[in-house]
Amino acid sequence: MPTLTVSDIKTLVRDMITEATPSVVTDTELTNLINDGYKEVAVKSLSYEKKITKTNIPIARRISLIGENILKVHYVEYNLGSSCLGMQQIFPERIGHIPIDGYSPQYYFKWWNCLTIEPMPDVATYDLYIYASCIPGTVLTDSDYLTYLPEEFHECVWQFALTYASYKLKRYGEAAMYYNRYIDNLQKRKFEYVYKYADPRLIQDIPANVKKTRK
Amino acid sequence: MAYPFLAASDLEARVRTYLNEVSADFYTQTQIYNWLSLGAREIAQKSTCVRRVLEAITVNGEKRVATNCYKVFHVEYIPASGRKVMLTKIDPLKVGNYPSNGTHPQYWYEWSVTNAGGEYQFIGIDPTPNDTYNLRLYVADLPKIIHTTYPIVSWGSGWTAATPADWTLGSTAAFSATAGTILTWGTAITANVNYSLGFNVTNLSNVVLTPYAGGTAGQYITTNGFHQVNILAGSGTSLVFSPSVSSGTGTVTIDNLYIAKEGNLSASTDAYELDPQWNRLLALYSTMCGLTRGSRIAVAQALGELYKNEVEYLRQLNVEVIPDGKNSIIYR
Repeated sequence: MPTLTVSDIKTLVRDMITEATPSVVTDTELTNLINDGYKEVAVKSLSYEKKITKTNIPIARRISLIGENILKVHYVEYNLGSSCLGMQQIFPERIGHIPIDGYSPQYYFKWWNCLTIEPMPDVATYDLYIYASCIPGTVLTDSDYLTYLPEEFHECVWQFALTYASYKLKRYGEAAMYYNRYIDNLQKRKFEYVYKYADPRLIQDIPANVKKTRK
Repeated sequence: MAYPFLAASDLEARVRTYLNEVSADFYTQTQIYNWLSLGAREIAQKSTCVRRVLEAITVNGEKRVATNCYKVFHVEYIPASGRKVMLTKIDPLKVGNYPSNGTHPQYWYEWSVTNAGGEYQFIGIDPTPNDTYNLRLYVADLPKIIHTTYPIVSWGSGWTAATPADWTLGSTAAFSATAGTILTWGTAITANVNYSLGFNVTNLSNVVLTPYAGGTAGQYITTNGFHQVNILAGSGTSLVFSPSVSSGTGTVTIDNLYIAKEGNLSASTDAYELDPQWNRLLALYSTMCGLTRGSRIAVAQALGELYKNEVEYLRQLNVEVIPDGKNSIIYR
């Protein structure tokens, strides 16, 4: 559920810099700062997650990812039709040396805007699912919500815009303070909402001992 | 290039906001474009974020293979048949001392003997190649300015075939003939400038495909897939694809052509091929230069530290290959 529009953030920023109507910081500049913050929060938090489907890939070692606006590939699944296989990411040096089981896709690594597959597939075409964090590809205007950014990160955009609006106003001390708040808030949210941890099997067992602290 | 990439004018607007100079006065547009261009190269050098996979072929009897990039990280050997393999990196002391199995490439080392312009460097291959062998170089490169249409997906206009009947030009450029006839781009390129071409090749049969920039041949292509080639253009101004038919009817289809050219920002629509996450750091770097010029040294220093840390952070976050472990897929 979206919470803040660009217009809302502008009001919040103008409240803090005590410039209710555009004077030093113009409306266009503020729109740019919010759009930059929108992208920047997505970059640092990796919170805009997409599942990108690549179908009917002809036999090729490398798959172009240009135009997908991918920041980081987290997982790649090879679609076997009735089931899927999670592929492991490897160091490039392992190519040709790592043990393989047949010639279907089993390993990968990302090299800038291409995905390299190991071993070189022997099937005519194949499908992959790419789980990636991306950067939003749309420009926001006043009435827009921060569409692709999870709700819990919206306030970070406000703090980012405040940082650089303060730069424009030459209030460098305030800019440093807002930047520290922005990074602090973003990191906490990233740990809470973005990082993924798989449960180990032991999590389903009743533990032998539990240490309780006395309150 | 569409959003989220930012063109020179967008970046200039950001820098002017941070410097609090809405229109050119103390800071000229040329100065800001120069700082942005410096910043783009500085970011690419420090983060190694512009990474390509370049085609290369050994020369019979020649240990050296020319490279046109900042740094080679890995070298992949592409045998005529069998599994492709990354070569082991060594230093020149190991040459001839490490065990080898056959005469095909097995080791490589860095030794940068540059040409006069600094564009070409070299790597060495061991054992000394006794034939032409296909290699792929995984490299870090400098950022180039992307062509306004990126990628080119419409070949129906702007491209001319020497023998029109041999080429079908539409959403792809498809060649089918018994003799090679060239395909030429109608737009003139800049002579003696470094170009990067990326293009997708399918349906390749009985053909060796060679791109030319300004009369200089790039590395020829013998396999399907996405290929990247760096060419230091010659004195001509044409960009050409030349298919050479080895036997019978040769076929090859090219689509999605990405053209990027080395240079400084000069037009408001110019944009570097740096991924969009680096755009903000470009603006920060230029702002730091501007603050320094304005003798606001303490703020420039603080901003410089911020910029430096962010480059390192983004490198770790987006550039480095961090593999999964063996235990990552074991159920326990």
